[in-house]
Formats: sequence, structure tokens, C-alpha cells
Amino acid sequence: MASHKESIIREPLVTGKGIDYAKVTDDILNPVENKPNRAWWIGFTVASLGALLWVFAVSWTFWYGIGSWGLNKTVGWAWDITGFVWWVGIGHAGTLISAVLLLFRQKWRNSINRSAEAMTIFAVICAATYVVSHMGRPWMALYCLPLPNQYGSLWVNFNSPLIWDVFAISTYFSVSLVFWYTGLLPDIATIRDRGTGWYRRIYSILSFGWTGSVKTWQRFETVSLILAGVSTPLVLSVHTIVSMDFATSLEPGWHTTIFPPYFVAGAIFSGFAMVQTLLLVTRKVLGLENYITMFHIESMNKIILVTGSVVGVAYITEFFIAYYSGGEYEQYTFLNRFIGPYWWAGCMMYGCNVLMTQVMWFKRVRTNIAMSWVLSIIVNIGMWFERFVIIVVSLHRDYLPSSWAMFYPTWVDVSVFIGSIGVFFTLFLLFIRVLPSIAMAEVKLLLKEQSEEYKLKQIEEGHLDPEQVKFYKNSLKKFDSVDISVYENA
Amino acid sequence: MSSTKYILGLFDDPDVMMHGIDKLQKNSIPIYDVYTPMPIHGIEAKLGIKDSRLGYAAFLFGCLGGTTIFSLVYYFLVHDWPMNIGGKPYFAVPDFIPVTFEWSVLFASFGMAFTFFYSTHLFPGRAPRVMDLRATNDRFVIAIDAKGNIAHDDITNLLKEAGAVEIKHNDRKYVSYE
Amino acid sequence: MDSNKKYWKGLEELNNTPEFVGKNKHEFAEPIPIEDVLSGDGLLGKTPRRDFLKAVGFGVGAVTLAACQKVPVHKSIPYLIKPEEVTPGVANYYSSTYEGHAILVKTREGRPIKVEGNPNDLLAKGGLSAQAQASVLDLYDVSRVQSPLVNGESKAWSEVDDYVKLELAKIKDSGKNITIVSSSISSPSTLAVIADFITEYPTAKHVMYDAVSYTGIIQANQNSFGKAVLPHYNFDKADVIVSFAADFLGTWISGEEFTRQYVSNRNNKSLQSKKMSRHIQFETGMSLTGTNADVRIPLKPSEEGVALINLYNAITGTTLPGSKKLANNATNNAIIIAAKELVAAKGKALVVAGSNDVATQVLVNAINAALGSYGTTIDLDNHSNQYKGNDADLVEFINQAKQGQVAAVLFLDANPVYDYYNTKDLTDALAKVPLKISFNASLDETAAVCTVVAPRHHYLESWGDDNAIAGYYTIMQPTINPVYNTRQVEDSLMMWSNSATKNYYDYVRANWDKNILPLAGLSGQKGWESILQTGFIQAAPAPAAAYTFSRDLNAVAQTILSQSAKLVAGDKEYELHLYQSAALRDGRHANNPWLQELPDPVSKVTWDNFAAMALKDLKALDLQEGDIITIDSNGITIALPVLLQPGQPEGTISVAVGYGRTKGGKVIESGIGKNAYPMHSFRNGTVQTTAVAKISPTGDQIILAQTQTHHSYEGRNIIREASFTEYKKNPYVNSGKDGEHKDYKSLWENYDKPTFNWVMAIDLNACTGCGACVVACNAENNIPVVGRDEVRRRREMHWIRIDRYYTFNEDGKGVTEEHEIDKLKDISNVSVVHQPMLCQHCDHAPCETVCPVLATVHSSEGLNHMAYNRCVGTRYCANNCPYKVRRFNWFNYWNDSRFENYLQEQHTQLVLNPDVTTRFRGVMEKCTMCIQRIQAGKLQAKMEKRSVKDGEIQVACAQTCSAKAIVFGNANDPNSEVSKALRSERTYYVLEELNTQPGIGYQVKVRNTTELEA
Repeated sequence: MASHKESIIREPLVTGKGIDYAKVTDDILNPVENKPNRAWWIGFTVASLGALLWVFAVSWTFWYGIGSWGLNKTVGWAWDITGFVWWVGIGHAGTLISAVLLLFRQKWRNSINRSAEAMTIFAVICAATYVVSHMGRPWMALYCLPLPNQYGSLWVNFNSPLIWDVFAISTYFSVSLVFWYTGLLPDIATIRDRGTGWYRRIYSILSFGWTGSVKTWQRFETVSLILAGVSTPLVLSVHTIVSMDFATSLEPGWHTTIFPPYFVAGAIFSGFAMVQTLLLVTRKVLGLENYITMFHIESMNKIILVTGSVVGVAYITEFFIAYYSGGEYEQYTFLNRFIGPYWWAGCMMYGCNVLMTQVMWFKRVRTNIAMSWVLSIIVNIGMWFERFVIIVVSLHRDYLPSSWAMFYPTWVDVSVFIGSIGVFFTLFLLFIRVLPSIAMAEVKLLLKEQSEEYKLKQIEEGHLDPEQVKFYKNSLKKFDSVDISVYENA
Repeated sequence: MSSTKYILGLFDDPDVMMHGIDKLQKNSIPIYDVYTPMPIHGIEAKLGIKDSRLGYAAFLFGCLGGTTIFSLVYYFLVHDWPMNIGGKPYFAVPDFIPVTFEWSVLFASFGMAFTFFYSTHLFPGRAPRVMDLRATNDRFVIAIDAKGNIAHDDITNLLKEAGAVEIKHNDRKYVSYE
Repeated sequence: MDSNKKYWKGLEELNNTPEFVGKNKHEFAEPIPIEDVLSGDGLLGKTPRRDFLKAVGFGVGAVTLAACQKVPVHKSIPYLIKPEEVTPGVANYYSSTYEGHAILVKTREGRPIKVEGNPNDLLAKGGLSAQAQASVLDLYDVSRVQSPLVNGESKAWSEVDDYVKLELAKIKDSGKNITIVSSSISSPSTLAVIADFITEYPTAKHVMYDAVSYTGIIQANQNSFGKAVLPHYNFDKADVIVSFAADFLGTWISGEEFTRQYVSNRNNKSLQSKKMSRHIQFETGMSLTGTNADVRIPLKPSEEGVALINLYNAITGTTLPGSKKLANNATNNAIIIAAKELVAAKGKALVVAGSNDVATQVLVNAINAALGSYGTTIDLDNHSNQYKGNDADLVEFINQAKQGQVAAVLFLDANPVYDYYNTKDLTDALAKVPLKISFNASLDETAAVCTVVAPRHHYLESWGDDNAIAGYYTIMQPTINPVYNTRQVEDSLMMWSNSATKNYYDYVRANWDKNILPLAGLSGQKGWESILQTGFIQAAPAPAAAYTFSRDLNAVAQTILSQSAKLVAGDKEYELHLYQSAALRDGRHANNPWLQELPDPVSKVTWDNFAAMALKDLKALDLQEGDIITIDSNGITIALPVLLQPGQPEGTISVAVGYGRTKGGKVIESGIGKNAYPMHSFRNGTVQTTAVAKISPTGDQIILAQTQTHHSYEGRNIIREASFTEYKKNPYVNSGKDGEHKDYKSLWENYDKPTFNWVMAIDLNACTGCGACVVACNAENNIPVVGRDEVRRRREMHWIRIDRYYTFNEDGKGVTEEHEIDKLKDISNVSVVHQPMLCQHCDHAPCETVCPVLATVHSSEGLNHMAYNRCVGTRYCANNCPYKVRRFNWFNYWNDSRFENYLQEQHTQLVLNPDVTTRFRGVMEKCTMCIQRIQAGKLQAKMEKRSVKDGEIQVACAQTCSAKAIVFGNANDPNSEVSKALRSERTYYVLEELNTQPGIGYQVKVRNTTELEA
């Protein structure tokens, strides 16, 4: 009972010859079932060194106190909250891809959602570490939860955006985790059924006893759909709430009503950039070019371009409102981003996020792997600076000039940030070794209509509009995983 | 022959398998279950499986979460220990919306997910009831309870005709992991 | 029901055999050979394996057992017999005296923890200087000399006395000189003791000199009116004040008193009655007084004399020989204006000069006489005793000593080795003096070269008295037993002069009974007890007579001109001007971390002195702020960082003395600043504070530890100013209430504050920016000292700070915005405003809303509370505070081996206020409006079954303010002082447009400027 035939002009989502269900499984489980290659080892060593640096720097902070960071009486947050917002932002792409694109029935999500979700979870972990480590008394962190206590009982302040954060981040993390893990069950079962010995036993436990019977699949799909349904507003709410840390405050440069949508756009922006950064490497190292194709890369680039422009508009709006409001403090703050002592940070922010991403209007750029990768890095740098500018540059010169001060990071500030990146990559590299980095079951759904092979078969069968066939062939040119010569004679 | 408990028809293509199901049903051979490496759309209709009611569960759990946190906050800040926080009213409803929303989502997703695990008997360490190991890889398996009065050969033939790449007569219901 | 049964241990005890008795003495029946074991070979002896194992076994076992027990409970033991005056938890106040001020000393459980001005004090009416506030910390200073020393090793007092008496006796016979070198002493009893000493040792001589000398004025008065005294100035009687480099609100003679007098003509009350004094300041370095002047004219040291001559000419209409106009026309005009205004205010005018030059001061006397100031604004008949030093005497002593005529010298509160300008001369002289005795409390530069150190008590441990102004006597009584093995100077002197009275208490008592009590008609035990309570006696003042000046000024003018000529800097030279810093004064307080961390009122620099220079000079030399230059003058070279000081005349450098101490304490020895005393010079009879210097850049650079690095208020309405003329036209001018006063609506109902609403009013026109409140707050609230590096990182912990903003006057309008200031050519014409900034206790506090854990919430008395135990340290509140007054504990300042905050010492911790907890690392803190005092006051009222009286609860900062610029009280009471103050037309709230509804109202700064200079 084949579902509707897809028009030929749609680009294939799976390329390559002889891709059948078994091949898909073999390709994707290749890294999980075999010994890691050298590239992985190198990456893992570097990453885990970074993680160690993180442990050291954070321990140092806990031992001596926050004073070992560069903060001062005027700038109470700097690299800590910058890093926190940066990571949370990155975390957004995963849920977005798996939830929103699912609701929109974007089939190309099937081959990237798995690692994107994993990335989400690891990013949120990194963010969470900042929530605790930036506290003056982290051993009192439990005070942030509404638990009965010796103050008889003093509860928490539900007016405070930080408490909203606590709720939002924890919810976001746990829901993403459930979503991710539920999706993993069929694939884990596959690994289980191919494995032997203790290996099989472990995956057997992890698989929750999945069998793939009709009823399970049917409910599985319902669950995915509803989870997608609730995650979509969730993912929007999380960065909205993070943005409220600033938007509900009194500081010029923070007290900005467009922050929620502006932050969410920024989050998607940086999130997709990070997915891009990771997958471009992963598909090469794990040889998954046939599943993460040029079409995926270009689609993500398009999203980056769009969200980047949205962010650009938000920037302009901010400036306009600062001018239009006539608030002298507001106006000074925004001028200060360019003419103040931190002008360079402002330039990084606006340059990387808005100007650089505009080159993606050119197809040649969008479909060039090297450039996409570089741009994705630039975007992440730009987004880090966006948070730095919003937090530090707003704080360092606010209402009373007598308190104006500069912020200079210490080695601890830097190490904690570099370290958190190390933690992130350590987790990610472990993930691609033990779990399938692509959702096999979902990719298998694509084989029938969306695979290149299938479409080629149709062309050879003939009786297709030659115009469309020509168009299709052209569209294939950009694919690095397609042997275009096949189509010459076809 | 008599020792056969289940007959499995293994297909390598979902569409072919669907035809197989039709064939069997035409010959009114009861299908025990079908195991596939991926969801097959439309199959539940054939096998007459009712729509899932998980949606309702999700909704109810969501409502529960929302009310829980909102009433808690009310108790904390208005009833148990009202305080003057920045001159704002004790019952500052707008400030309570974010947490209410978050917990609605939290309860909804967790409630539903666990209901799903419960109703489909999924939990860590459950012995997998697998009839054929390739059913999670590249085979689409139709399982037929052999304890019918229909001759097993007929079933085998039917499946052959339907294009099964392999037919198994299993003496045991599940593949046991030695 | 105790039984009379006698139980004995054995027959031995019953028969009480001798060996039993013998054994019974010892703890153990058999002697234990512990000495043998511990002495030498006992330890060297090899331990057999078995013994070793036994020992280990036992050790482990014992440790395990010990570990099984839970942490021992340390019980605090109450007084067995409670001293009747001490009730734990209740403070006692004792009246005493500090530098002539009548003060109250707050003691808790028998230890002084705070010093406060006596509200009835004649001088400052309860106000006290930062130094007085900090003095309590010196009491517990671990670097005080803790027992008497002879040739460096500590001895018992008896040994010291024997030794000294023997030596003195020898000297007496040899007939050689004995000299007591002291700073000015105004205590009648001490002077009497010294007199007795001199009668005992006829060759003895008492030399008084001051590190920063007032000899000039004293000699001038001798010369002009035959009275070698420091007059008593009445700034409150002056409508026009012209000061030539006299920092009379800060370091000059009696700053606190003059502040009180001066502000009484400029505060709210005076303005209400449309009256405001006029103050013109001519000076080189920007002084605290200069920042408060209505008009400040930059003046080079070399120009000062000429300017005074011109002023004299303009006032009297005569022309002294050699008079000439100054290069700078603005200055000339200013002198003309000043003269006009002075003449107009005849009898209500006052001219003062900071110079220590006799000739200059004679001329000033002449001017004041011409203005009829004597008898009104200057009182020669009830003179001041605060300074009596005569520089020439010290020089004479040194010469005698060089010739070996001096056999003994006793140093009392004097540290010439540090602060005498000619160190080499002095050390040579002292080398020739066999017996050198120091009474100084710490082992300072001078004590270090002395043979005998007989450490004195801290004044809080001493009996004594003082007589700052003729007829005003204050009593000093001990408030604690001596912390260390020290002794009163007077006791030592009496002991050595075989005085009849054996201790100083009796001496003081007798002296007061005989000479002082009668002045107030008191006598006997009752009289004595009453003054111990009131703390002072004020005899009826002598009528202040008018004095006429009748000397010939030509010679004087000549000397002045020739002096000035010497000061004119040549090519590549600069005119050097030495001054006392407002915090450290002459350097005797250099070991006090509170004062070291008190920002300089003008430069906001802590923990260092610096070379203040003008912008143009810096540009010319291509120097940045913080670059280190060497200053070469008087044969001495010191290296200091430069500071860009607006208002500094070109071609001049100002350097603070009091820094660069080398001995005398932990703080001092950490190396703070450079010593500028050697750059003084001795010119016609007095030590002078001006010189010519060469400078050269070194290429090195440091970051000055400043608490404020942006110096202008960017045209923001956080500071609101008006000229007196504008104010007279419209009292509401610039207060924001002008015409329609914006009333900011709230989205919700405000909480009501049933009984109290604690608020403050701060009058920007009264605040001089001296910083006494900052130190008072440190002492009251246990605020940690963080040290130079942390201040550099902008982490000082002060709960109250004083923001200082410059406004640059460019053709008639004030320029405050950074980018405009950069364009200014000349930034010497600058006016300054000081704004005390502390937690505003907003009713809509931004900090409260954002605290996740409810560690900061609002009280029903309008206070913004801070619960340290609950705080987790997210710092969100500090970020969200528009006033940036919240302070975060970056480190565990009270116990961090790696981190020194100077208050961790065993004794210094005794100064902590037990009513205020010390804060742990990682929590936020800020001004609480001295909630511990509020609670105490409420409790007191409750116990007395009455309501709290207005003014009975005083916060520390308001209490110590000589200008009474800060008023604290209950806004619910319409008649309270604060309510009255807040009703002033000038009241505005900082950032009120944010509708944070602050609890602290500020009053517009008013300047008595006329269109002429504006």
C-alpha cells in the first residue's frame, strides 16, 4: 500500500547505490559496533583534556570563591551567564528539529534529529553547570528549590526570573531527555538483536524490551507527535524565560520588551550553527554522507540565514527604540556599544551575526561544505559576543557614572568556559560511539520514496515530464555524495 | 508439524508484506502480530487496532501539573508566608504564569510517556519478546498462531505466493537469548 | 546534709606518716621519669620493634576512641560575680576626649568598639573626624609595642625605671641637657607633669614641634599683636571667606569644628532664611575645602604671596612696594572681586592662609585687621591650643645635640626621624645623644633608634585631659584595662622625677580639683563625678577684643616677594606643593587599614600617594595616569605615580605627606606610598611646604587603586545644582518639583508602614565629602578591609561611599559629558559636587523582586532587609540595583590565609561590633540603616513604655557627620527632623523617574556664584 508518489523534482534525502534496509542499519551502526578510528581518539583526547580543565577551574572557584573570577561591584555577571545563555541557546536546535520540523512534516529532519537532540541535552547540561558554579555559595544551591527548610518554611521567590529559569531549564532538560530516549528505543532494540553476550544484555536492558509490534509502533508515533506538540511551546518558552532574566530587570540594555522573540530567534540561529558544526564533521568521520546529504546542509544554512536576519531586525529594532524612547540611559547604553571601551565586542556581535551570515544568500556558499563550516563557527562566536555585549557592556556603564567599571576576565573565567566546551564534546563523542547518531527507523521510512536510488529507478522507467527530470538532475549537481555520471545516459 | 507453535512470514519490503496481510485475511487466517523495523502506515487499520488514547492522558496530566504548581505558589506566597517583595502584591499572578506553564508541560510529557511505557509493557530490563531477530533490522515479519485448524502448508504457500523471502515454523514462541 | 565522716585511704593517711605526706604532695605516688625520657639520650635511645608496635597500637586505638566521641561542646561561662556596670549585650558609654573633642566611647562587655562625638562637644557638636572614628582600631593594633624595651629587648617596668633613673641621675650631675621632644600638647595635666619633671631635672627642656607646622601663624601673631598663639577662628560668623590654600574643612587646625561652623551658613536652615556665605578659594592642589568653594581659583605657590599683596592693596587702596599684577588675568579679576566682597562684608569677613611662612601670615593678619575680623571672625583672646609647635626649637635642639650638649632625649608623640625634613641632620644629632627614650605606642622610625622604649597607653586606656580652646576643658578616662604591658607617659615621667603623687589618676584628679573644676563652680567628689559624666567643662569665654595692625609692611612685602621669586620654576621644573591627605593626615595614622582604604575625597585614590598634575603638563610630557615619575627636589628623589587632577594649575605638582612610612606596623611595612617630608625646606624660621622640583618619567606604570574612575555625571539629573541667585528667585529651582512636579503612578497599591518609615535626607549643600561617615560605617557594621589589589579590582566593601563629580566650566556653562570634556582645552576651571551614596531602601526595590531565594525583602518599616544565611550569591540583586550599592563577599575576608584583610589579627577582631554578624564568602551585603541601632532604640523605648523619640536613634554615618548633612528618622512622624528636611523645596530623589521610590531624599546643591565668574 505505497503512500503517495513524491514528485520527482524533490531532492533525494538518502543518496547512494544499493541502499536497502540492511545497508542502512549496517552503515549507521558501523561506529557503534566497531572499534573507534584514530580521528575519534584524537578528538576524544582533546575533548576530555578540556573537561579536566573544567573540573580544575570549577574546583578552584569553589575552593577560593567567586573572587577568583574577574567580576566586580559593578559587573556582577560576565563570562558565567554569557556562557549559560550561549549554551542554552545552542540547546534549542535539537528540540526544534525534532519537534517543530516533525509537526511541519519535514522528512529531512529524520536523519539529523537524533544527534541534534543529543546535542541539546549535552548543551543544557553545560548550561546547568553554570547555574550552580556562578553562585557565591553553590553548596546552598538547594535553596533555589521550594523545599521545606529551617527558616520555617521560607519558600522561593516566584517573582524572580531566576526561579522561572530553574523550572524552565529543568523541565526542558527532562522533557528533551524523554523525547530523545523514547525515540532511541527501536534503534537500541536493533543493536540488541544484532549483538551478543554482555553487549546484548546491556542494550537489552536499555531497550525496555522493545519488539516493534504493530501496537507499539502505533502508540510510539502518537507519543512522538504529542511530545513534539508540547515541546514546541516548551522550546519557545525556555529562551523566552532566559531572556526575561534581562527583560524584566531595570538595567538599560536589559530592560527590553522584544527580548523573548529576539532571544528565541538567536537561539535557533546558534543552535543550527552548532548542529552544522558537528554534523559536517560527523558525516565525514563516520562516513554518513549518504544520509546527511548536501540537501540537509543547505536546508540548515537557509534556516541560519533566516534566523540570522531575524536577529538582525531585532538589533535594528533595539536601536530604533532606544532612539525613539528618548530615554537618555537607554540611548547611552546603545551608543556605548560602539563608542564605548567595549566597541570591539559590539563589532564582533553585529559583524558575525548579521553581516557575515548574509553571504548565505549565495547558493555557492550554502552548498560549500568548508564555508558552511567556517560560517557556523563564526555564528557561534558572534552569538557568544551577543550575550557578552548584552550582559557586560550594559552593566559596566549603567545609571550612576561613579560606579562605571571595566571587566577583565581571569584565567579561571576563561578555563571554565573552554572547559565547558570540552565537557560538551566529550559527551558528544561518547554518544556517537555507543548510540546510533542517526535515527535508523526513521531513515528507513525514507527509503521508498525519498531515496536517490528510487528516484533514479523512476527516471529509467521513463514516462516522467522530461522538464522535471532535467531540473532534478541539475539539483543533484551540488551533492558531494552523488555520482552524477550515472544520470548522463539515463 | 504438531510441535510448531508459530509460523513466521518474513518479507523484505513493506508493500509486499501489506499484500501478504491482505492475502492471509482473504483466506481468513488470523494474524497474531506483525513486527517491523519501522512504523508502517495504514497497517493498524488492517489489523483493526483502535486509535491510541494517549492524547487524553497527556491533556489530563497537563492540567494536573498546572493546577499543582499554581496552587502551591498560592500557598507559598499568599497563604503560608506573605511578604513584601519589591512592593509587589502578594498574589502577583503574571509572575506565576511561567512556572505554571512549565509544570503543565512537564507533567503532560512525563505522564504520557510513562503511560505509554506502562500500557505497552516497556520498562528497563524487560525480557524482549522477539520472534525473529531481524524484525528490528531489515525484515517485516507476519506472525501467525499455528494452533489453528488450517493446514500449515497452506499458510506457507500463501505466504510464498505473497512474496515472503523466508518462512519459519517455530517450535517456540519467542527467540530466547541463551 | 553533708556527713562529718572522714574516709581515709589507708593507715598511712590515718597515722599521717611522713612518707605519705611527702607522696601526697605529688600527683603520682611514684615519680614518673618523664624528664629522663625527654632529655637528650632518652629520645636518642633506640625503640625496640615491639615497643614501637605497642606505641602504634595504643596510638591508633586512642585516636579511634577519641574520634568516636562527638565534637566537644564549648560552654561559655557567665560572670561569676557580675561587675555591676557590665550587662552582657548592653553597651556602656564613657565620656572621654580625642584631640580636644569631647567624645563618647561605646564599650561592650568591657571592650571599646566605637567612638562617637559627644553631642554637647563645643567644637563639633557630636561630629567626629574619620581619624577619631578609626582610632579605636589602633587600640587593638597587634603592632603596638607590647612591653617596654631597653636596647631592643623587653624588660620589666621596674628594670626600665631603675635603668632610666640611674642614667638621668648621672646626667643631672653632669649638668648636660635633657630634652623632651613632643608634638603639641594641650593637656594641662600632662604639661604640669612635664613641668614637674623639669623642676626635678633643671637641665631639662621641653620642645614642641608639629610634623605639619603652624609656627608661621603663631609667630606672625607674636610679631603683629604680641600674642604667640593660634587664634580661634569663627567661620560661622563669616559671610565672606577667602582662603589661600588653607584646607580648613579638612586638615587645617580643627577641620571638624570649622566644618560645623562653615556649614551653619550654607545648610538648609540658612538657605531657608535666604542666607548663604560666600567662599572663594585660591589654592594649588585641589583640596577638600577647594571642592566645596563657591569659586576656586588655581594658584601656583609662587603666585600666592603676590596674590595676597594685591588683595591687600585692593582692600586698603594702598600699593605695597614691588606689587605687580599676576600673569593670569582671571586670577587678577578674582582678587579684585574677592577684595570688593570682603570690604562689603567688613566685620563679617575672614581671610585665612595655609602657608607656614611668617611674613605671609603677617600680611594676612594685616588684611584681617583691615577687614575688622578681629573680635568677630577671629578670636585671639580665647586662643586655640591645638597647635603650639615651634620649628626653630627643634632645629636648635638638633644643633645642641650635634655639639654633644644633649645627653638625653625623650620622644613623646613625636616621630621626627620620619617627618623631620632633614633626616640626615637629625640622625647625626641623635647618634651623639647617649640616652634616647621613646614613649611612642609603636616601634616607629624614631622609636627604632631609641635605647629605651617605654610604650604609652592608647588614649582609650588612659587617664588625662585636654584643653583645645582656652576655657574648654575635656576629661579623658580609661575604658578598658591596658591591652598590652604599657604605661601612661605621665606615670613614667612622674616615676622618673620621683613625684610625690604615685599615679597619674590622683594627679589629674588633684589638678582638676585645684585648677579646673572651680572654673565651672564645681568641686569635690560630686563635681568630679559630674564631669566624668558630662565629659567637659566650659569656662566663660573671655570677651574677644578687636586688634589693630600697626606694623610696617614694606619689609614684609619684600620678604614675601623674594620668597616667591625663589619658587618660580625654571625650564623643565615644576612648583612642588606638599599637603596632608584627608585620610592619613601627617602620617601618624598610617598603620590604620580603615584610613588607608578610605578613598581620598578628591582623587578617590586609596592605599597610595601620588603626584597630582595638570592635564596640559601630562600631555606635554606624554604621560598617562598611573605612569611613574621621579620627583627630584631638595636633594631628594622619590618615584610616584601621576594622577590627572582637574583644577591643578599648570606647572605644579601636589604630593601628599604622611605616606612612605617604613617602620611601626604590619600595614605600614607592606609599603604604602613614598615619604615626601624630606622635600620640605626650612626658610626664614619655619618649615615650608613648597619647593621647586624636577621630574622625569621612568617608563614604569601602576594602576592607582581608585574607587571611582569616571569623574563626571554625564549631564544626568542624578546631580541637581543651582546658583544661590537662582535659588533666591525660586526655591524649587532644578529640584524637579519646579512647576508641575511629576508624580509617578504605581501599578499596584503601596504597602502601608504602620508605625515607622525609616528614611534619610542628605543635603548635598552641607556634605563636604570628608568621608568620616565611611569610617564610622566600617566600625559600626564590621565592614572588611580588602586591600589595595582588591580595590584595584573595584571590590571595595564600603556600604556608604561618596561619589565625587567634576563639572568643567566652559564660558558660563558646565560641561559634564565625556565626549565634550575630551574636546576642552582647559580643564582647570572645575566645580565639584559630593554625593553620599548608600542603599536607598527603595519601596519598589528592584533587588527584592529578582532574588530567587527571598534573601532580600521589604520590612513594614520601609527597610530593605538582607538575610545573609539565606543568600546563595547569584549577584542578580546587585546587577539590578540602579544605584550599585550592593557589595558581594568575593572571598572569605575574615578567614582566608591567602587573603589579608588586616582585621584577622587575634586582637583586631575585638573591635568587631557584636550586634552585627561578619559576613561569609559568597553572600551579598549592603547598608542596613544600622538596623541593630534601630532595634536597640525600639527596645529601649519599649522597656521605658514610651514611643521612640525623634533623634534618639542615630545611624552611624549621620551621627559622626560634623556638617549634619545626613538626617535619619521616621517619616511617619510629620514633626521629625527628617520629615522637615524632606519637605524642603530642594528635595529630589536620585533616579526617581524609575519609580523605585527611594527612601533617601537628596537636597539640591546650591552654589553662591555670581554671573561674574560663572
